[in-house]
Amino acid sequence: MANITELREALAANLATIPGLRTAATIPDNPSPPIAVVQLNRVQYHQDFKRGMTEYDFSIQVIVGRVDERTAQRRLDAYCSSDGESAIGLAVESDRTLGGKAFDCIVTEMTNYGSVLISDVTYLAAEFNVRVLAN
Amino acid sequence: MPKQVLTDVVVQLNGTAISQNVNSVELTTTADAIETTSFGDAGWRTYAGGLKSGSVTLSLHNDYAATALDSVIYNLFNTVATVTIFPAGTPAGTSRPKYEFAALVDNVAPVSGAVGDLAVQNLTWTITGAVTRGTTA
Repeated sequence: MANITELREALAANLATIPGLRTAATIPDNPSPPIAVVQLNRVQYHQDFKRGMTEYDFSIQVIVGRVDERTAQRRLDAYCSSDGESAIGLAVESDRTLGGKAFDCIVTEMTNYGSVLISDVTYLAAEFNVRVLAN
Repeated sequence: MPKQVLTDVVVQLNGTAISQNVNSVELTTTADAIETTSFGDAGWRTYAGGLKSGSVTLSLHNDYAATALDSVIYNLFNTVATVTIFPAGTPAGTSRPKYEFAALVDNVAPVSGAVGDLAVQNLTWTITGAVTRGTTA
């Protein structure tokens, strides 16, 4: 059986290959941007008989500081791109077995690009949905 | 259990369990309805059971690793394979029946899916010969 904590940590490790991006395998109280926070949204059990596969839906919230709006958006755009050294999708899928802890994983979409309020501070953020198949 | 959720179904192909790559299984048997209607049946059609046949439908999650599911299935194409299904798990017993039969592997689908989809094979094979229901291991 896959260990959810290990899956989180493996996703964070893949994200850490992006230069300058902090990562958090758990949700921090006071994030220090730019940071990618791994969150678990849904687990679908019994995708095969005999617990052959479980499907995990993670979201990765990427938060950047909004001191300079234009700079913040350019930085977030780079994270959302499908190519380049800052691309979240490429980083997550750089090791699709997550160190051998999963069968496969794929970044399916980016949603919720916009401002978020965390501890009375406004940041710019985007969410990436990641589908992880493991047992 | 008076009612049961299918979670531990065991599917064996030529004696090898493939359950952990099986998402869905359906075994269907039918018998021909041979009409025996005659005068004196008060206007109602009557039938007798004729030849029996069956099919098995499997939804599989593919695995392309060496000696894994894809190679197993593909190498069985156009051959007859022994399929055993334990709906309530193994070993077979009075409340855990097993269904065993030979199936003609007359179709395989090594690749099926769009970009981003899980690799699957949805197959229906024709049963050749009898389907037996056993309650002993």
